[in-house]
Amino acid sequence: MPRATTPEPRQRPNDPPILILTSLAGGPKHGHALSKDIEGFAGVVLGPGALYGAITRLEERGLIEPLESDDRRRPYRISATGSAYLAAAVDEMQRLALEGARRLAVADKASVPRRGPRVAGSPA
Amino acid sequence: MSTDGTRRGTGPTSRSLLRWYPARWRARYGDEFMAMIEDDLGGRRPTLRYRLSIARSGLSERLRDAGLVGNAVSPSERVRGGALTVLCAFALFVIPGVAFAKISEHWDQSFHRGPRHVPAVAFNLLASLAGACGVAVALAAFALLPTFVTFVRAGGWPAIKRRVKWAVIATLATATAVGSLAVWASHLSSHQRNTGLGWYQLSFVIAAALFAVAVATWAAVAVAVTRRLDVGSDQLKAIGVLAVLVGVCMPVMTAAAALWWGSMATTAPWFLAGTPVGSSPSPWATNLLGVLVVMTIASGAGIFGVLRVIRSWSELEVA
Repeated sequence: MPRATTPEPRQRPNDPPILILTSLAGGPKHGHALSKDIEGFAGVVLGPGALYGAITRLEERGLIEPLESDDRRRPYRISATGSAYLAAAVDEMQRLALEGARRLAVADKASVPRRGPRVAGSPA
Repeated sequence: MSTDGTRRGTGPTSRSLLRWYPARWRARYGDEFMAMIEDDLGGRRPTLRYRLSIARSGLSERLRDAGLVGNAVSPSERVRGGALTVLCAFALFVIPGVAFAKISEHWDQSFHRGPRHVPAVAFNLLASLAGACGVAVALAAFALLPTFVTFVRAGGWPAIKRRVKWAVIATLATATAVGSLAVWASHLSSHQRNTGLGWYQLSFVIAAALFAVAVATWAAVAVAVTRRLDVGSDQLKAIGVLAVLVGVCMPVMTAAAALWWGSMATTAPWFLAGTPVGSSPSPWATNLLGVLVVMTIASGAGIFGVLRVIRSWSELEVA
């Protein structure tokens, strides 16, 4: 039964659930294909235990859905709830990234004038 | 399979790796998980890191399946899991408890003067609570007895038969060892029993190990049975209350054992060291330290179970 529609606080971009949802946002995939896709776009190698642990939790929460399959490789797709969850997580990470970039820009501007005179050897 | 030995069929390997997971998880994800492992490995042998990833995840799923972590299972399963954790913790506690009973045997005869009320209070508290815990475990078993009979009549016996067989074998072995030891001990002097005879000491250790195995196998039987029973709400509540009682008693008993040690160390250290009455040996006793360490570990596990029961209790009421 779906339980969660909003991401947990301090969601990290390399958390297995976010990586899996991001991968499935590009289309349905089975376990091995998910693992290779995530390694390709995020450079993160998810162990089989971590991958299927996350798949189990995501399915319990109704964020992904299994698809019918003729062979043992069962593909999964992102559900509507999962898409909303991922969108909220992406918004949160984007907001954090923009805030970080803004503060870094402020810090850079503030530090340049102070560094100048010190390098020139004229203490304040 | 190639001739270099590095590539081989992964069917048996993936099946053996799958055993880390609980049966319910295997029934749902087993086939696709094995297919993924076979795709991942491509006939190669799994690395240690790969195996560890599966082992860690499988154990985590087992804890979830037992209702010990997460909220994936129903509140009643979580209460049951918490109560079984307390039972296992108490089974562990019994082992140092029996060792403590042996160590403290005839302690009150070791005083020739001085106050003995502090060790007496600590010892009596420990003994009373141990008795209360034993009664609580028996009551829990009694509460489940009708459901157990129904389970067996419905054809559940084969599912627990192997575990019961091993528990009975371990119990008979323990009874034989302890009985033989008692007969042997009756022909030995006090000095030979306590320090003098190496073979007797070794036999004592073997009997103690057999006792620990017997306790562990019966705990395994209790867990296997209780997890399979269709327990009613009232039964579950009764078991939950009894589990909380036992879980709370264990740290108190541990504290009482520590208090007894401390008070004996100050008033009758010769008893702990086995030296003549009135002497002043070191009060440090390695065996008592070991007893307290295991008691503390068991108490910690018991409190974990108690918290699991209490946290799931309100949801049980709603359900």
